[in-house]
Amino acid sequence: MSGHGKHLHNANKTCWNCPAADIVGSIDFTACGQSRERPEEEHDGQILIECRRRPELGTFDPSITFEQCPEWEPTDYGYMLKNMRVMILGIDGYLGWTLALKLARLGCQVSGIDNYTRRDCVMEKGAHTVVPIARMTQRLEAAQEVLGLTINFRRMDIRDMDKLNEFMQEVRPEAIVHYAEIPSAPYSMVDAEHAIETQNNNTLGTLGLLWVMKDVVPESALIKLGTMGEYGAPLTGRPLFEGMFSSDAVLQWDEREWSMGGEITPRDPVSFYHCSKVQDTFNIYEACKYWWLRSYDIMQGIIYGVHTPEVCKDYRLRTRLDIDEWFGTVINRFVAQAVLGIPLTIYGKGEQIRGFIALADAMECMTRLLVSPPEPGQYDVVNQVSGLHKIADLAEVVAEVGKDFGLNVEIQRLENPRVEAEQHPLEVVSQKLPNAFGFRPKITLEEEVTEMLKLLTRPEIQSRIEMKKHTVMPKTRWSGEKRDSEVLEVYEPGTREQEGYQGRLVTGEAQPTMRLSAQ
Amino acid sequence: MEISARNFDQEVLQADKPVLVDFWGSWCIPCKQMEPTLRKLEDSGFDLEVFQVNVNRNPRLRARYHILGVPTFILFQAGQERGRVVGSQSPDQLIGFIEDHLD
Repeated sequence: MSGHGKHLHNANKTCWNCPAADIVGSIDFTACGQSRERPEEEHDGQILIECRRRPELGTFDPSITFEQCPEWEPTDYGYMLKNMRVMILGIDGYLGWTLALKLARLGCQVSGIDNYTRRDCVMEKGAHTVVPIARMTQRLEAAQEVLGLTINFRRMDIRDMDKLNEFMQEVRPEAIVHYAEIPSAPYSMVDAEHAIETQNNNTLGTLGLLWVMKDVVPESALIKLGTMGEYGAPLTGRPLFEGMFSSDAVLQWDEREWSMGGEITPRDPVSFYHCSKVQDTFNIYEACKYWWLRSYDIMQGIIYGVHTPEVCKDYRLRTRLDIDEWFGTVINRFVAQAVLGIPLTIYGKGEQIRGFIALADAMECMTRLLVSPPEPGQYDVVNQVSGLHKIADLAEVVAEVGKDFGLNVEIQRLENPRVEAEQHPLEVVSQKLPNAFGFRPKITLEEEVTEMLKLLTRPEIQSRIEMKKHTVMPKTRWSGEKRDSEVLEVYEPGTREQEGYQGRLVTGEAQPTMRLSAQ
Repeated sequence: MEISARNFDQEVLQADKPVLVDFWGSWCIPCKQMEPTLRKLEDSGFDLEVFQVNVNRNPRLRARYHILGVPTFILFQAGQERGRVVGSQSPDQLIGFIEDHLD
């Protein structure tokens, strides 16, 4: 590793944050507003620990910093626990596979599970990943052959708690990345069966995981993927605060006042899929309170891109890229449409503003969070976005970059299949990643779209896009109907009049005072 | 500033100034969210020290002061407890609490 900064963001974290620390004696589970006393052992009134990695130290005060501890080594992403054992749930997916390669290359011992749900769901749509991906056995072979990496994979459903328990006992992960959810709003809106399967897999899978963690690895940090869609897009423009209110958020009512400190900020999910993630948020929050589990809940913006240094090393190491109406995220879909030479399709006015982050930047965020674990019992939320964009503006960017590849496409507005505000303000607070974890986005939208077009215009991939172009247009409507959306308007890029709102992303350190009131 | 059982008596009970002690726990989200308010209090011009005691790490202090829920704020003056308040507090509430309990 080279070039890591003078002061790494997690230098002052201590044993208290470290998954190798084993708390000696009993601990007190006094929670906010409730208490459960346990008999205490006498250790001079202090909590002591033993280090699982350095048992020769005996019992001691958990105050050694990552900077001082030889088990934590400096990297470009902060101090990292040597050979850190990381388990990735959903390791076969778009993000899971990409992160597995990155972490293994950084020296982590990576394990993972998957039951290939994503492959099955995309096949159910009659679609395929336009960037071909290898079968898991070939992926693992290629990781070994090309990068010299060993990944410990086990095929299983996250809801199979016995198997998961057994694998956790075998691996004893020091961090768990949870990507094992069905990540599609339209999929959850197809019909009752799909809505139920989405909530069953996501919510019950996560709930079972929490119980397994409690029994087997309560010291492990859970890095859980949520979504910015949990917050929705309030029409009032009220900022999307980062997870919880601070203590100076005050509710005034009937001439009395209360601090909102620590209460979960409003959630307004926009599909049954998003509802499943909100339920996860509450389940994890509670598990941290009851059992001293620890977690970062990541409210991730819409992801796009195909490119990280690892997946580009070999065609067998590539991660998937979906373009169908269920699993194709908007930018990925636009790029595929540009390659096909068909109009880029925006839903409704196209004035919807969303948070976005490129694949490689998201992987960097995850790595930085992973090396800086929360304390026992700490539940925290981070808003993981690198930019806010209006959907219609994204279409303009893709159309513009497409010109460099000789692609000339129009943009068309479709009748919106979703129930959502089509014109709204959006203010997103994302202060923790830049200020507490040292994250700076490295990839611009234009750069990643260029990378995508380079890959997707290769003849062999272009033909795979061509083969599945009938799966791109939306047929799943929030009303429950199945039909094509009517075309409202077709226009040339660069001709659309600017209107509506602009998004505002708040990343600085300043903490403005919050005051709510009701009379 | 974080203090422990080792220096509690010296920093709190033997202090010349009034002292507000925030008993907090790492699992406690309202405790974590008190940080901006504590910073504001330190900047508010009160002649007062503010310390934090992590109750996970200091079970004896937790027992000595009968902390049953966190955050608990105890105001000390001349070695004596002058008052306590439990739960997340807004800046105005915390300042009001201090004003009501100081000589």
